[in-house]
Order: sequence, then C-alpha cells, then structure tokens
Amino acid sequence: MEREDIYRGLVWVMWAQLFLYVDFHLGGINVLPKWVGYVLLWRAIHLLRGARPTLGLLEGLCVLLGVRAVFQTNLAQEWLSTLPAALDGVQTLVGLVFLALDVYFEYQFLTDIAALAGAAGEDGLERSLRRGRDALTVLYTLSCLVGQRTNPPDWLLAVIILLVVSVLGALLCVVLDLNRVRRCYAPQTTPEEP
Amino acid sequence: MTNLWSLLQQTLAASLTAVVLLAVKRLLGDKLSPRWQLGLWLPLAVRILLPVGVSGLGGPVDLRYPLTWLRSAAELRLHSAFTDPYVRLSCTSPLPWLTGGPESVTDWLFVLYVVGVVGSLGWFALSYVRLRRAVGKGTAVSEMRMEQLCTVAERYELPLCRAVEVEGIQSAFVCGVLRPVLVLPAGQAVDDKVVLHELLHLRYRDTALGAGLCLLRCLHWCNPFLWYCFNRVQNDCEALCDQRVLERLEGEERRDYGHILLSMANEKYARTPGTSSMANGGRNIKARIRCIARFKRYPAGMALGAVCCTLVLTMGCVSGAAENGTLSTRPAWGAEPAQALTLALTGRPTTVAGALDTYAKGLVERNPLCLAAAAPVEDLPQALETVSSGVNPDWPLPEEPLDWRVYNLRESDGGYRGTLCFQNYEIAGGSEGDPPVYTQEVLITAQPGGYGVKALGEFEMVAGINLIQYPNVKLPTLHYTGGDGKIAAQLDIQTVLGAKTTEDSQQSTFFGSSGPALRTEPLPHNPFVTYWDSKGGTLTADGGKVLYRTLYFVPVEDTDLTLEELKSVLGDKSNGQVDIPSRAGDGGGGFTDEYQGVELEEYLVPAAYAASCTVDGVEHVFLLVREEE
Repeated sequence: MEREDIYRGLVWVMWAQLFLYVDFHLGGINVLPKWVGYVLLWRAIHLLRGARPTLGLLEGLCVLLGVRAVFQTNLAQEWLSTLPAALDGVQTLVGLVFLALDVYFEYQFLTDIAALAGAAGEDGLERSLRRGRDALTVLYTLSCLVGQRTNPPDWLLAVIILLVVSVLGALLCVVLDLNRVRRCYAPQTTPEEP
Repeated sequence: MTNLWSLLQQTLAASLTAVVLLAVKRLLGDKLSPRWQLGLWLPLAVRILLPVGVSGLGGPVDLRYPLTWLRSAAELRLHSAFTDPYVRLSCTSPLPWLTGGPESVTDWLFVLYVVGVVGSLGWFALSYVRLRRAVGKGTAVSEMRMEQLCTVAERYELPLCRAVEVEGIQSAFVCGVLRPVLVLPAGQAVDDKVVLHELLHLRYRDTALGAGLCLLRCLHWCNPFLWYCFNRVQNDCEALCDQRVLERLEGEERRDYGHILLSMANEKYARTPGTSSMANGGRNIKARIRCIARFKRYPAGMALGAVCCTLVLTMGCVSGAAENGTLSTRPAWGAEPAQALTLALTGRPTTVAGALDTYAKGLVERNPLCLAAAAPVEDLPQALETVSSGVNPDWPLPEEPLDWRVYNLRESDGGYRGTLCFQNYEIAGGSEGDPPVYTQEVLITAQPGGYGVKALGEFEMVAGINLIQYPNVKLPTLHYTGGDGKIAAQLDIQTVLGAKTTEDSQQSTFFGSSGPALRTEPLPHNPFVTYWDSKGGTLTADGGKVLYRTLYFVPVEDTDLTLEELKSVLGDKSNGQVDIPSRAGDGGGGFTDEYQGVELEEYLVPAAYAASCTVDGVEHVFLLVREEE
C-alpha cells in the first residue's frame, strides 16, 4: 500500500512540475496557473510523508507558497495595485520572506525525493538528484543576487543570460530525474497465470 | 551617524531586517536545526554594520520619504547644528559621532543618544570588570576537579583553559574573550555534561559573540525591539551549543542532559558581556528542551539550502534599488513646506540628463516642485517658498508641448555648462513652419545626493530652426583657435545631447497613429540617449590666404602640451576629421541609444584639440584651444 501511495505521490509531483514551470496563456488567461502546482505538491506531500516524515514539515510551507502564487496572478496583482502606496513596503518585506522560503522548500523537497530514490535502491539516481538539487539551488540563489542590479553592465548581462540558461538546464535534469524516481515506484505488472 | 535622522534611518532599517528574519525563523523553526537558526541572523549583523546611506545599500524598503518628511517638519522650524534639512537624508557610517555643539532640540536628543551609547558601554565594561574581580578572588580548582576537566576535554578533544572555583555562583560559565577562564561553583559537584557544554563554548569562542552583541546593544540601546532580537541571538547560541553537546552524547546521556537543563530553569540569569552561561532563564530553557526533543527530527543535509537562504536574505535586506524616488506630476501648489521639501529631496535627480529633464519639465509643465527638485541647495529655500506660497510665478516659456535639447555641454565652473533649448514638439519639423526656439545658458552642478541646475541668464528666442534635435547654423557653436605661426586654424564644434523625452508607445487616433507623445513626468535618474554633432572651421595661411584642406583632430584636456606630446596624441588615438572651410551646423552625424545611454564623459566638449593638417607636403601640428565665453 505504501509503495502505491509513493507512486501516486510521485505522479502528482510530476504533474505539479508542469504547472509550476510552464506558463501557457489562452486569450490572456494562464491555463497552467502556478497555484495549481502547489495544490498538487500538497497532495503529493500528503501521500509521501508516510515514507519520508520530514516531508510533512513542508506541508505548511507548500500552502503558504500556494497562497503567494494566487497573489501573483494578474487578477490579484490588479487588486494589489489599488492598495495604498504605503503598503508597498509591506509587500516588499513579505516578498523577501517568501523568497527565502522558496529556496528552502525546493531544497528540502528535492532532498526528500532523492532519499526516496535511495530507499528504492537507486543510489546513482539519488546522487544525481542531489547534484541537480544543489545546482538548482546555487544557480537560483546567484540569479537572485545578480538580478537585483538595475542597468547592469554588458558583462553582467552575459552572466545573467548564462545563469538563466543554466537554471533551465538544471531544471530539465531535475525533472527527468524526478520522472525516473517515479518509474522506480511504478506498479510492477504481475505475469498472467497459465 | 551624525544626527538624529541618520540614527533613525539606520536603526529602523535594522528593525525591518529583524522583522523579516523573525518571520523566516518562525516559519522554519521546526525545519532548520539550531546551527542554521543562528546562521540566519547574519543578515541582521550585516545590516547593522553597513550604513544605509551608501549607494546600493538602502535595503528593500525606502524609508527616506517618511523620515525626510519628519525631518523637514521638525528641522524647518529649528536651527540645527547637526542637520541640514535641505540636504538629502543619508547615513554614511554605522557609528555615531558629534560634529559640533548642539543647538536645537533634535541636536540635544542626538547628544542624549550618544551619551546613552557611552553610558551603556561604560555600564557593560563595569559589569565585566566586577565579574573579573570576583573571578580573580576565586581559588584554583582542586586536583580531583582538574582531573575531571582534563578527562572531559581529552574524551571530546576540546581545548581547556584556566579554571577557578568561586563562592556564590549557581552554575558554571566561561568568562573572557582574550584570556578565557572557566568558572565553576565552589563546593558543588559539576556534571561532566555541564563541563562539556562550557568547553564547547570555549572551543567555538561564543564569548566573542556575546561581547560583539553587547557592543551592538550599546549602539542601539534606544531600540527595544533590537534588544529583543539580540536576546534571541544569544538564546540561539545556547541552543546551538546544546546541539553540539547532543552530537557528542549518546542514548541516555542525552536525556540526562535535558534533566540537567530543567534543573537550571529557576536559576537567575544576567547577561554579562564576554561570558557564556548554560542557564539562560526559565523560558529560554524550556525552548531549548523543546529543541533537544526534536534533535533527531531536523532534516539532515541542509547546509547548502540554509546558506543559500541566508545569502538571499542578506542580499535582500542589505541592497536596495529603492533609493531613487520619483517626482509627482501634481504641482503640489500650496503644499506644506515639509511636504514640499520631502518631495523635492526624495525626487532629487541623480544624473546630469535627469537634472536637465527635471528642470525642463518644471518650466514646461509649470511644476514648481520639479524646479525645486532640480534647484541647487542654495536656491532651495526660495524654490520651496514658491511651492508653498501657491502663487503662480511668471513662467518664462509659453504653455506649449516643448521638447528640449542641450547644446555644447562642457565642463566649466566646477560643473557642466551648456545651452538649453526648447521647441514645440508637435509643430517642429512639420509643414506649419519652424516654431521659435527658446534658449537659456545653464550650469549643472553636483549637489548632495544628485545634481542641480542653475540658470545663467534669461531666455532668448531664436527663429528659423527646423528641429533642435539636430545641429543647425542658428544656435551657438564653440570655437577652437590656434596655429603654429605659419597656419592659423579655427575649428567650430556644435554638439547636441538629449534625454528620453517621449513616451514608449505611439499615439493612436481615429485617423491613424502618430509619433510617441511627449512625457510630462521627468526621468530624474536617466542618462542622455541621443548625441549629434557637427564640425566646421577655417584654415588660413600666413598672409591671410584661405586654405582648403582636411583638418585632423583629437580632443585633449591639457592645454599645456608640447609639440612632441601633440604628435604623440595624434599618432596614438583615432582622429576626427573635417574638410574645411565649412560651417558647423551644416549637416553632422550622431546616434541614439535608449538601452545603454550615452556615456557623458566621452561626449562632453573638450577644453582643446590636438590638430594637424598638411599644406604643400608639410605637416603642421598645433593645439586648438577653446575660446572663452
């Protein structure tokens, strides 16, 4: 039963990646909203925390990040722009808190999924996922650090472009590894009895 | 920090950083081990030690507007020796010092703060001295006790320091940063785990952290919120020491350690600089016991994640693009002087092009607030009086959509001087004839926090110019003259610099779309984006004969160059050239770069040119110096 739960959880994780990292607009509406990704991740955490108790620590963070994603939609941004300018500072501070939570959530989540791969006997996959996790975290942090500058010089622009490309590459590797972890827990088809 | 307002700026920025960190710590409390909980305080230390007023270190929230308003409201009525209300708010040092004798109430408040800093330092120093004296009266530990200390130190491979026993203390502690002493209660047995705890404090120099926190407490003695945060830092330090102890203990020993802590819950605790104590108050001990209970439940392998979190928070809390304010397009007629001054100072242009744009928009849009923001400091009081009076001054320009350019911008009189030109944007270049151009000599000078524009004369009207965006023969040129005795040369230069004065999008009407509209708001922080120039001149031989030649030239700033140096300059650098005789303003060349902008220093008109031409096979090299205005 637990193996089935883990597999279903990992399926939700894969679907969540689609919503979290792909934007697809139809008639001005995003048909892959990010907040749906967090709902799917929350479902996945619920299913996977039996096998990895530390994943349970991320449930609250997942809800918070989902709420933030709701506030990042166009409709919510329009409403936020009507608020008094004095609240701009509060929004900035809250944004900073969420930035740190984002970094932590990604890191911890991938650590736990990597541990699941290790539990399935796939040590190589666990190492690959951890490396991908490290690369993604470092690149994302670097992009946060350099992205603060306005009117960056040419050489920094080149660095930023390189960072963006590297982040996309690392993300792709991580998503592929997540899929491999999912396949590790796929239900094994039993041969038909003669 | 030299006045009350820079103190407020610094301490409030630190408080906002602390708010962010407390929120993150609350949300990650059960996820990050005590090691990383302590590490998350790094951004606060960086924020406190870096001054807010330095460019790029303003922090995520711009406090300058509310603080400038408060300062203006207070200081415009007072006569402060420490504060100039007409200068942008800025804190350039995290440490306070007095720049003179106090005169106003705010000055005395700042003096009170400085006295508080010195008093706090003195009080902590006195506490430490008294403690060291008490420790000095202690006796060396007994042989049996020393054997116990050595056994614990050897077992866990920790350093040991001098140890004494003192009457009347309740629990062991380490005292001193440079010459630490382990202080034990006389006549009481001390558990090995307590010794281990204190030796770990010694090993990781936690007393230095305590001493550093004391200094920060003194610096921000008037901010109770920061004192609360410093207490939290020390509690986190103790929790980290607990973690280190637990990492070295096994099984039942960990439970025993928890019991020992519980037994200390009722002991008194006083924070003394340069000391560490296992007992840090009942409430804190309960929190530490909760951490101990969670010891194995913290996610492992979080080092990189925690470091990246901390870096992101540090960058976010320390660096800030939220420094450069924008000016309101509302004229703020009749605004309170404090409000008007606040708006003017927070919208102070920070580039030469921004200063000219702000000044120009002030005249064109009839916005005295823009004029105030672009005014030099010495003219600010009068500019603000105009805003506050609500009385319309005599505007020198007609009420039309006027675009602007600056001609012949060069370094002069400690700033940049040029001819500011205005022309009707909608009519110019069209079929309705050439609208008049209004010109004024201006001087742009560096001011605290930016640039200001000073008018050097009245406006003059010039007719017959098609478009001020390009060089023309009607507007002034600069003349450079020189020669080598055989040849007399004159080089005429006209340059045109412009900023982004139009909106990004085109205007659409029923009859089709027209060009982009003129901006009504200034861009006080933008660079120049267009540059055009035109050259001309004359060359005459000895006897007055006009020569038709190509003149080559390279800009130089030094007007005292020898012939050899002139030749070297002409040989080393890429030469400009002009076929003369010709008239500056007839044709020309240039470019527009709205992305990178124009590098101002490269396109200023120079003081002189090294020039050469060839006449009858003989090369003539000479210096052309700009004629005085």
